[in-house]
Amino acid sequence: MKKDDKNPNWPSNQTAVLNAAVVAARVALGAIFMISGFFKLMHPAEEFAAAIEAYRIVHPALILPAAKILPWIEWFVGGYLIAGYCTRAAAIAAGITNCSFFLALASTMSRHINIGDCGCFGDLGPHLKVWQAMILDTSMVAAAIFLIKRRSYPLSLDRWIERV
Amino acid sequence: MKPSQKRFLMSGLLLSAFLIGCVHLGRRSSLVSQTNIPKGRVRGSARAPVALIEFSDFQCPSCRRAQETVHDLLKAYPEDLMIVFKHYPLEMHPWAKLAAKAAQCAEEQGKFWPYHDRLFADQETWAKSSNAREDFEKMAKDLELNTGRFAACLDHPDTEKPIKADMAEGDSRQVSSTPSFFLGEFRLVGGAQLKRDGARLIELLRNEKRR
Repeated sequence: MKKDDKNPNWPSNQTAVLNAAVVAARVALGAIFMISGFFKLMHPAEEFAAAIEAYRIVHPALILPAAKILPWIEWFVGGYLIAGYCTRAAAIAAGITNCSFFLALASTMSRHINIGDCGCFGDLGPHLKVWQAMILDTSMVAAAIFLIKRRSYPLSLDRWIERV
Repeated sequence: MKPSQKRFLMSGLLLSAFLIGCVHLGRRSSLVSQTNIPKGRVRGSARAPVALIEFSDFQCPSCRRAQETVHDLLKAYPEDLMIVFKHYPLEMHPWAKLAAKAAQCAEEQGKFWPYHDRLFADQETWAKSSNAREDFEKMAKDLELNTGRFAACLDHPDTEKPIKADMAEGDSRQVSSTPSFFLGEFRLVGGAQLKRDGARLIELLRNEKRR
Protein backbone atom coordinates (compact mmCIF):
# COMPACT_ATOMS: atom_id res chain seq x y z
CA MET A 1 0.00 0.00 0.00
CA LYS A 2 1.33 3.40 -0.95
CA LYS A 3 1.77 6.09 1.61
CA ASP A 4 -1.09 8.20 0.21
CA ASP A 5 -3.54 5.33 -0.25
CA LYS A 6 -6.57 5.51 2.01
CA ASN A 7 -7.55 2.49 4.05
CA PRO A 8 -11.35 2.17 3.60
CA ASN A 9 -11.62 0.81 7.19
CA TRP A 10 -10.03 3.91 8.62
CA PRO A 11 -12.30 6.88 9.23
CA SER A 12 -11.60 10.03 7.25
CA ASN A 13 -10.32 13.08 9.12
CA GLN A 14 -13.77 14.63 9.12
CA THR A 15 -15.37 11.51 10.57
CA ALA A 16 -12.63 11.22 13.18
CA VAL A 17 -13.25 14.79 14.30
CA LEU A 18 -16.99 14.17 14.43
CA ASN A 19 -16.48 10.94 16.41
CA ALA A 20 -14.22 12.77 18.86
CA ALA A 21 -16.86 15.49 19.23
CA VAL A 22 -19.54 12.88 19.93
CA VAL A 23 -17.39 11.24 22.63
CA ALA A 24 -16.49 14.62 24.13
CA ALA A 25 -20.14 15.77 24.20
CA ARG A 26 -21.26 12.46 25.73
CA VAL A 27 -18.59 12.49 28.44
CA ALA A 28 -18.95 16.21 29.25
CA LEU A 29 -22.74 16.05 29.48
CA GLY A 30 -22.59 12.81 31.46
CA ALA A 31 -19.95 14.13 33.84
CA ILE A 32 -21.96 17.28 34.67
CA PHE A 33 -25.04 15.16 35.33
CA MET A 34 -23.11 12.67 37.45
CA ILE A 35 -21.38 15.37 39.53
CA SER A 36 -24.63 17.24 40.05
CA GLY A 37 -26.50 14.08 41.08
CA PHE A 38 -23.69 12.76 43.28
CA PHE A 39 -23.30 15.99 45.28
CA LYS A 40 -27.02 15.97 46.03
CA LEU A 41 -27.09 12.27 46.86
CA MET A 42 -24.30 12.77 49.42
CA HIS A 43 -26.51 15.11 51.45
CA PRO A 44 -29.91 14.54 53.02
CA ALA A 45 -32.79 15.05 50.59
CA GLU A 46 -34.24 17.79 52.83
CA GLU A 47 -31.30 20.05 51.90
CA PHE A 48 -32.14 19.80 48.20
CA ALA A 49 -35.85 20.08 49.04
CA ALA A 50 -35.12 23.51 50.55
CA ALA A 51 -33.48 24.54 47.25
CA ILE A 52 -36.51 23.33 45.25
CA GLU A 53 -38.85 25.20 47.63
CA ALA A 54 -37.13 28.47 46.75
CA TYR A 55 -38.39 28.20 43.14
CA ARG A 56 -42.05 28.16 44.31
CA ILE A 57 -43.10 25.94 41.40
CA VAL A 58 -43.54 22.44 42.82
CA HIS A 59 -46.53 21.62 45.03
CA PRO A 60 -45.38 21.36 48.68
CA ALA A 61 -46.47 17.72 48.92
CA LEU A 62 -44.26 16.81 45.95
CA ILE A 63 -41.12 18.69 47.00
CA LEU A 64 -39.52 15.99 49.16
CA PRO A 65 -40.31 13.13 46.74
CA ALA A 66 -38.85 15.26 43.91
CA ALA A 67 -35.74 15.98 46.01
CA LYS A 68 -35.28 12.24 46.53
CA ILE A 69 -35.86 11.16 42.92
CA LEU A 70 -34.22 13.92 40.85
CA PRO A 71 -30.60 13.32 42.00
CA TRP A 72 -30.95 9.62 41.16
CA ILE A 73 -32.22 10.52 37.66
CA GLU A 74 -29.22 12.84 37.18
CA TRP A 75 -26.81 10.18 38.46
CA PHE A 76 -28.19 7.44 36.19
CA VAL A 77 -28.54 9.65 33.09
CA GLY A 78 -24.93 10.83 33.61
CA GLY A 79 -23.65 7.28 34.17
CA TYR A 80 -25.45 5.93 31.10
CA LEU A 81 -24.13 8.79 28.96
CA ILE A 82 -20.53 8.28 30.04
CA ALA A 83 -20.73 4.53 29.54
CA GLY A 84 -22.63 5.00 26.29
CA TYR A 85 -25.49 2.74 27.32
CA CYS A 86 -28.93 3.56 25.85
CA THR A 87 -27.14 6.71 24.71
CA ARG A 88 -29.95 8.25 22.66
CA ALA A 89 -32.54 7.68 25.41
CA ALA A 90 -30.14 9.10 28.02
CA ALA A 91 -29.46 12.14 25.79
CA ILE A 92 -33.22 12.69 25.37
CA ALA A 93 -33.67 12.48 29.17
CA ALA A 94 -30.76 14.91 29.65
CA GLY A 95 -32.27 17.34 27.14
CA ILE A 96 -35.71 17.23 28.77
CA THR A 97 -34.23 17.63 32.27
CA ASN A 98 -32.12 20.62 31.22
CA CYS A 99 -35.06 22.24 29.42
CA SER A 100 -37.11 21.88 32.64
CA PHE A 101 -34.29 23.42 34.70
CA PHE A 102 -34.02 26.30 32.22
CA LEU A 103 -37.77 26.95 32.35
CA ALA A 104 -37.74 26.82 36.16
CA LEU A 105 -34.92 29.39 36.27
CA ALA A 106 -36.64 31.62 33.69
CA SER A 107 -39.84 31.41 35.72
CA THR A 108 -38.11 32.70 38.87
CA MET A 109 -36.63 35.58 36.87
CA SER A 110 -40.01 36.52 35.40
CA ARG A 111 -41.59 36.45 38.87
CA HIS A 112 -38.68 38.48 40.36
CA ILE A 113 -37.87 35.75 42.87
CA ASN A 114 -34.30 36.06 44.08
CA ILE A 115 -33.10 32.51 44.70
CA GLY A 116 -29.40 33.43 44.91
CA ASP A 117 -27.75 30.04 44.37
CA CYS A 118 -29.52 27.90 41.75
CA GLY A 119 -29.04 24.75 43.88
CA CYS A 120 -27.95 22.87 40.73
CA PHE A 121 -25.08 21.06 42.42
CA GLY A 122 -26.42 20.79 45.96
CA ASP A 123 -24.43 22.22 48.84
CA LEU A 124 -21.06 20.66 47.99
CA GLY A 125 -20.69 21.78 44.41
CA PRO A 126 -20.19 25.11 42.65
CA HIS A 127 -22.80 27.72 43.59
CA LEU A 128 -24.09 29.17 40.32
CA LYS A 129 -26.14 32.31 39.93
CA VAL A 130 -29.33 32.13 37.90
CA TRP A 131 -27.82 33.57 34.70
CA GLN A 132 -24.79 31.27 34.96
CA ALA A 133 -27.06 28.24 35.40
CA MET A 134 -29.14 29.32 32.39
CA ILE A 135 -26.04 29.48 30.18
CA LEU A 136 -24.94 26.05 31.42
CA ASP A 137 -28.42 24.59 30.78
CA THR A 138 -28.51 26.04 27.25
CA SER A 139 -25.09 24.53 26.45
CA MET A 140 -26.19 21.20 27.85
CA VAL A 141 -29.42 21.19 25.80
CA ALA A 142 -27.30 21.91 22.68
CA ALA A 143 -24.98 18.99 23.55
CA ALA A 144 -28.00 16.71 24.13
CA ILE A 145 -29.55 17.67 20.74
CA PHE A 146 -26.18 17.03 19.04
CA LEU A 147 -26.09 13.54 20.59
CA ILE A 148 -29.74 12.74 19.81
CA LYS A 149 -29.09 13.46 16.10
CA ARG A 150 -26.16 11.00 15.85
CA ARG A 151 -26.74 7.56 14.35
CA SER A 152 -23.93 5.82 16.20
CA TYR A 153 -21.83 6.45 19.29
CA PRO A 154 -18.12 5.58 19.11
CA LEU A 155 -16.39 4.15 22.20
CA SER A 156 -19.73 3.30 23.78
CA LEU A 157 -21.33 0.24 25.33
CA ASP A 158 -24.06 0.50 22.69
CA ARG A 159 -21.46 0.08 19.94
CA TRP A 160 -19.82 -2.83 21.78
CA ILE A 161 -23.17 -4.60 22.22
CA GLU A 162 -23.94 -4.21 18.49
CA ARG A 163 -20.54 -5.49 17.36
CA VAL A 164 -19.69 -8.43 19.62
CA MET B 1 -33.57 -14.25 23.65
CA LYS B 2 -30.91 -13.12 21.15
CA PRO B 3 -27.28 -12.92 22.39
CA SER B 4 -27.23 -9.15 21.74
CA GLN B 5 -30.36 -8.72 23.91
CA LYS B 6 -28.68 -10.74 26.68
CA ARG B 7 -25.60 -8.53 26.46
CA PHE B 8 -27.81 -5.44 26.52
CA LEU B 9 -29.63 -6.60 29.66
CA MET B 10 -26.48 -7.80 31.44
CA SER B 11 -24.61 -4.56 30.66
CA GLY B 12 -27.56 -2.52 31.94
CA LEU B 13 -27.81 -4.53 35.15
CA LEU B 14 -24.08 -4.36 35.86
CA LEU B 15 -23.88 -0.64 35.09
CA SER B 16 -26.93 0.14 37.27
CA ALA B 17 -25.58 -1.98 40.14
CA PHE B 18 -22.24 -0.16 39.87
CA LEU B 19 -23.94 3.26 39.97
CA ILE B 20 -26.08 2.34 42.99
CA GLY B 21 -23.03 0.83 44.76
CA CYS B 22 -20.98 4.00 44.27
CA VAL B 23 -23.64 6.12 45.98
CA HIS B 24 -23.98 3.73 48.91
CA LEU B 25 -20.21 3.70 49.39
CA GLY B 26 -20.03 7.48 49.28
CA ARG B 27 -22.84 8.16 51.71
CA ARG B 28 -21.90 8.82 55.29
CA SER B 29 -24.16 7.77 58.08
CA SER B 30 -25.98 10.78 59.50
CA LEU B 31 -27.36 9.01 62.53
CA VAL B 32 -26.52 10.72 65.79
CA SER B 33 -27.54 8.63 68.75
CA GLN B 34 -27.17 11.28 71.44
CA THR B 35 -27.27 15.01 71.61
CA ASN B 36 -25.83 17.18 74.33
CA ILE B 37 -28.61 19.39 75.71
CA PRO B 38 -27.11 22.52 77.29
CA LYS B 39 -29.49 23.61 80.10
CA GLY B 40 -29.05 27.32 79.46
CA ARG B 41 -30.10 26.96 75.86
CA VAL B 42 -33.39 25.12 76.40
CA ARG B 43 -36.66 27.03 76.01
CA GLY B 44 -40.00 25.58 77.05
CA SER B 45 -40.65 22.73 79.43
CA ALA B 46 -37.50 20.78 80.27
CA ARG B 47 -39.75 17.74 80.79
CA ALA B 48 -41.35 18.05 77.38
CA PRO B 49 -41.44 14.75 75.49
CA VAL B 50 -40.40 16.33 72.19
CA ALA B 51 -37.19 18.32 71.57
CA LEU B 52 -36.85 20.61 68.58
CA ILE B 53 -33.10 20.95 68.03
CA GLU B 54 -32.28 24.09 66.08
CA PHE B 55 -28.92 24.63 64.39
CA SER B 56 -28.79 28.34 63.80
CA ASP B 57 -26.62 31.31 62.88
CA PHE B 58 -27.42 34.71 64.41
CA GLN B 59 -26.40 36.55 61.25
CA CYS B 60 -28.52 34.41 58.93
CA PRO B 61 -31.69 36.21 57.73
CA SER B 62 -33.56 32.91 57.20
CA CYS B 63 -32.84 31.99 60.85
CA ARG B 64 -34.33 35.32 61.97
CA ARG B 65 -37.46 34.78 59.87
CA ALA B 66 -37.85 31.20 61.19
CA GLN B 67 -38.07 32.49 64.79
CA GLU B 68 -41.74 33.37 64.32
CA THR B 69 -42.57 29.74 63.46
CA VAL B 70 -40.49 28.47 66.38
CA HIS B 71 -42.40 30.78 68.78
CA ASP B 72 -45.75 29.73 67.28
CA LEU B 73 -44.93 26.04 67.78
CA LEU B 74 -43.84 26.66 71.35
CA LYS B 75 -47.12 28.51 72.02
CA ALA B 76 -49.14 25.71 70.44
CA TYR B 77 -47.36 22.91 72.37
CA PRO B 78 -46.24 24.45 75.70
CA GLU B 79 -46.24 21.14 77.58
CA ASP B 80 -44.98 18.94 74.78
CA LEU B 81 -42.15 20.86 73.17
CA MET B 82 -38.77 22.18 74.18
CA ILE B 83 -36.47 24.16 71.90
CA VAL B 84 -32.75 23.37 72.07
CA PHE B 85 -30.52 25.97 70.48
CA LYS B 86 -27.28 24.85 68.81
CA HIS B 87 -24.72 27.20 67.29
CA TYR B 88 -23.85 26.76 63.65
CA PRO B 89 -22.24 30.07 62.56
CA LEU B 90 -21.52 30.05 58.84
CA GLU B 91 -18.20 31.34 57.51
CA MET B 92 -19.96 33.54 54.96
CA HIS B 93 -21.28 35.71 57.82
CA PRO B 94 -18.39 37.75 59.25
CA TRP B 95 -20.00 38.50 62.64
CA ALA B 96 -21.77 35.18 63.15
CA LYS B 97 -19.07 33.58 65.29
CA LEU B 98 -18.66 36.64 67.49
CA ALA B 99 -22.45 36.80 67.87
CA ALA B 100 -22.44 33.14 68.95
CA LYS B 101 -19.70 33.91 71.48
CA ALA B 102 -21.69 36.88 72.76
CA ALA B 103 -24.74 34.66 73.23
CA GLN B 104 -22.56 32.15 75.10
CA CYS B 105 -21.34 34.93 77.37
CA ALA B 106 -24.95 35.92 78.03
CA GLU B 107 -25.71 32.26 78.83
CA GLU B 108 -22.90 32.34 81.38
CA GLN B 109 -24.87 35.07 83.17
CA GLY B 110 -28.17 33.20 82.76
CA LYS B 111 -29.57 35.39 80.00
CA PHE B 112 -29.09 33.37 76.84
CA TRP B 113 -32.69 33.65 75.59
CA PRO B 114 -33.17 37.41 76.12
CA TYR B 115 -29.84 37.94 74.36
CA HIS B 116 -30.79 35.47 71.61
CA ASP B 117 -34.04 37.36 70.96
CA ARG B 118 -32.25 40.69 70.94
CA LEU B 119 -29.60 39.43 68.49
CA PHE B 120 -32.27 38.35 66.01
CA ALA B 121 -34.40 41.48 66.58
CA ASP B 122 -31.46 43.81 65.86
CA GLN B 123 -29.78 41.57 63.26
CA GLU B 124 -30.18 44.00 60.37
CA THR B 125 -28.36 46.70 62.34
CA TRP B 126 -25.34 44.87 63.77
CA ALA B 127 -24.85 42.66 60.68
CA LYS B 128 -24.00 45.81 58.69
CA SER B 129 -21.82 47.29 61.42
CA SER B 130 -18.09 47.78 60.91
CA ASN B 131 -17.51 46.79 64.55
CA ALA B 132 -20.30 44.54 65.78
CA ARG B 133 -18.53 43.95 69.09
CA GLU B 134 -19.63 47.43 70.20
CA ASP B 135 -23.24 46.51 69.35
CA PHE B 136 -22.95 43.25 71.30
CA GLU B 137 -21.52 45.03 74.35
CA LYS B 138 -24.32 47.61 74.17
CA MET B 139 -26.91 44.84 74.07
CA ALA B 140 -25.30 43.26 77.12
CA LYS B 141 -25.55 46.59 78.94
CA ASP B 142 -29.20 47.04 77.90
CA LEU B 143 -30.00 43.57 79.24
CA GLU B 144 -28.28 44.45 82.52
CA LEU B 145 -25.48 41.92 82.20
CA ASN B 146 -22.21 42.47 84.01
CA THR B 147 -20.39 44.21 81.16
CA GLY B 148 -16.89 43.64 82.55
CA ARG B 149 -17.49 39.90 82.82
CA PHE B 150 -19.14 39.92 79.41
CA ALA B 151 -16.14 41.59 77.73
CA ALA B 152 -13.68 39.25 79.44
CA CYS B 153 -15.78 36.27 78.39
CA LEU B 154 -15.80 37.43 74.74
CA ASP B 155 -11.98 37.39 74.74
CA HIS B 156 -11.61 34.10 76.59
CA PRO B 157 -10.60 31.19 74.34
CA ASP B 158 -12.82 28.74 76.28
CA THR B 159 -15.94 30.58 75.12
CA GLU B 160 -15.51 29.00 71.71
CA LYS B 161 -15.52 25.44 73.03
CA PRO B 162 -19.31 24.88 73.20
CA ILE B 163 -19.68 26.55 69.81
CA LYS B 164 -17.15 24.18 68.29
CA ALA B 165 -18.87 21.22 69.97
CA ASP B 166 -22.23 22.28 68.49
CA MET B 167 -20.66 22.67 65.06
CA ALA B 168 -19.07 19.23 65.31
CA GLU B 169 -22.47 17.78 66.18
CA GLY B 170 -23.97 19.68 63.25
CA ASP B 171 -21.32 18.27 60.91
CA SER B 172 -22.00 14.76 62.12
CA ARG B 173 -25.67 15.36 61.37
CA GLN B 174 -24.68 16.63 57.91
CA VAL B 175 -25.97 20.14 58.57
CA SER B 176 -24.88 22.40 55.74
CA SER B 177 -27.34 25.26 55.82
CA THR B 178 -29.11 27.22 58.49
CA PRO B 179 -31.57 27.03 60.03
CA SER B 180 -31.71 23.23 60.22
CA PHE B 181 -34.11 21.64 62.67
CA PHE B 182 -34.31 18.12 64.03
CA LEU B 183 -37.38 16.53 65.55
CA GLY B 184 -36.25 13.06 66.57
CA GLU B 185 -34.91 11.51 63.37
CA PHE B 186 -36.77 13.99 61.17
CA ARG B 187 -34.80 16.79 59.54
CA LEU B 188 -36.35 20.08 58.48
CA VAL B 189 -34.24 22.52 56.51
CA GLY B 190 -35.39 26.14 56.58
CA GLY B 191 -38.35 27.90 58.11
CA ALA B 192 -40.74 26.83 55.33
CA GLN B 193 -40.28 23.12 56.06
CA LEU B 194 -40.69 23.76 59.80
CA LYS B 195 -43.88 25.74 59.19
CA ARG B 196 -45.32 23.10 56.89
CA ASP B 197 -44.38 19.90 58.75
CA GLY B 198 -43.38 20.98 62.28
CA ALA B 199 -46.78 20.63 64.00
CA ARG B 200 -47.55 17.29 62.35
CA LEU B 201 -44.18 15.82 63.38
CA ILE B 202 -44.43 17.16 66.95
CA GLU B 203 -47.82 15.48 67.32
CA LEU B 204 -46.51 12.27 65.80
CA LEU B 205 -43.54 12.14 68.20
CA ARG B 206 -45.63 13.18 71.21
CA ASN B 207 -48.16 10.41 70.49
CA GLU B 208 -45.33 7.88 70.08
CA LYS B 209 -43.89 8.85 73.48
CA ARG B 210 -47.30 8.58 75.16
CA ARG B 211 -47.81 5.01 73.97
